[in-house]
Amino acid sequence: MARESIITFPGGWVTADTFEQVLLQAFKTPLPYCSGVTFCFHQRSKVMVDAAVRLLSLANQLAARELRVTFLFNGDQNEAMSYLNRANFFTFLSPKVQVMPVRPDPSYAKRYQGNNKNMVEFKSICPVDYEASASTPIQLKDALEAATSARSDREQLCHMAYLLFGELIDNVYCHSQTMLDGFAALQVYRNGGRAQVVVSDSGVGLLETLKPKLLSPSDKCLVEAELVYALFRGNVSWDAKGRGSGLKRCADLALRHSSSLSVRLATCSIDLTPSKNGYESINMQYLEDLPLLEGTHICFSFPLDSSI
Amino acid sequence: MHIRLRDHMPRPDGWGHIQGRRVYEELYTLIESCPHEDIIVISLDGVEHTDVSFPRESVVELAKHYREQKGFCLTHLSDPDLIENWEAAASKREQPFIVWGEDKSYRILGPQPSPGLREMLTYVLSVPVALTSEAASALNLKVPNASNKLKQLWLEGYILRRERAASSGGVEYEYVRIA
Repeated sequence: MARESIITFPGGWVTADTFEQVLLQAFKTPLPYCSGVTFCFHQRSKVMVDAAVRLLSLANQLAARELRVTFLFNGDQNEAMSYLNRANFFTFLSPKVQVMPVRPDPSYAKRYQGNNKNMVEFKSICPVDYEASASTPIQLKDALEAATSARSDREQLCHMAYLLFGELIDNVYCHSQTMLDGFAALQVYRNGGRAQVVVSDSGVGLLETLKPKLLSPSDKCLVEAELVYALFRGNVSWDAKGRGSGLKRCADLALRHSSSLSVRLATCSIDLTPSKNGYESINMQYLEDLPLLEGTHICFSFPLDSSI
Repeated sequence: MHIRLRDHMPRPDGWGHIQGRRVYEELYTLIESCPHEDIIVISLDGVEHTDVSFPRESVVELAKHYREQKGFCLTHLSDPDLIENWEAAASKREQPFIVWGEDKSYRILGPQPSPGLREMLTYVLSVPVALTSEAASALNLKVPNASNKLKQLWLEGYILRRERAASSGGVEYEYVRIA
């Protein structure tokens, strides 16, 4: 018998970890037997951008599968709704998703777009229209420049962000093989002294497109977590003309700024914490058997200069 | 042949393999329309940012395609971030580039010449044209040794080789810097 799944986000910070935990709790009923999914937000939920991008992709995927999807924001002046609206989230949320009490007016977000020094609003990546996203990496870089105007390491930081966005968005075009839009966003958390860069797509997943191109039989036998780890370490041989090394470049760039890295794939997630030796397996956290979230969702989280 | 890369880019920044490929196609068509030109000078004047994929798929791939037939060099490349990314692109495709600066100064991006070839390369880059006999004399080498080094530099993409009629009849090679 079909059932409704209810996912409840608590008050306080909703990180990607929180997102996965509540998802696991909610999807005790396997997805094919769900008739609908309701995402409930506590009045004081503060959704971080790495969780928000996974949420956006999941909601759109569920709606595309014709499940009934509802967002329920509790209380007056719900903080999650306020943030997500400001981040342009609802512009890209499928119109099939019901938002309660009422879907915010997207013109509010558009009116203030680009004016928040701590945020680069969600930008969509249309897999079948490259030109629509051609300016996205430089827009994201320019916005980060505005958000870090007083920082001593601003130039290096913004250059890194440009390269990360370019590489990750390029991967969406290379690997996603879907009609669903992907997303890119950036958020500066001044009080927490961190910034997060996220790129997400709802395609077949990075590993599914890269696995056939692996040269070494031993690489082909790696489990997903080990393969992602090997990709970011550059310990994989390719048959492509220099392609496939982009993730290693991202990792090298991120390491210069002591960035941690998380990758969510269809049913697993990998978190890497940097050390002086780079990303090491000893500092890798791996979760498997997660509820299905198609695509590839990458987040780089790097500390900001505490002098600012 | 001089090409200003920015003139073939829709924006001053270039990223990704798709845009790289488009620029490749455009430059390829342009170069094929001038078959007698064997030295292509690519100016990065006006290019503000690139990632690694864009140069790899465009200029580097083009240079690799034409290796031994045409030579590509770069100018107006001084931004450290750009240099780093173009270096990565050139290294990944194992395609060297001479980057010319002011006053005939230069640097080599991509794979560096082996120790045994460095002196010969320095010599060729210092003269407009190098004949085997002249190179051998300048570097105190036997002619066959000089010939091997020059040929190796040509095959690896550091210099160009042209045929010309020898004064004694037959064919001899002249080696030219890519500039």
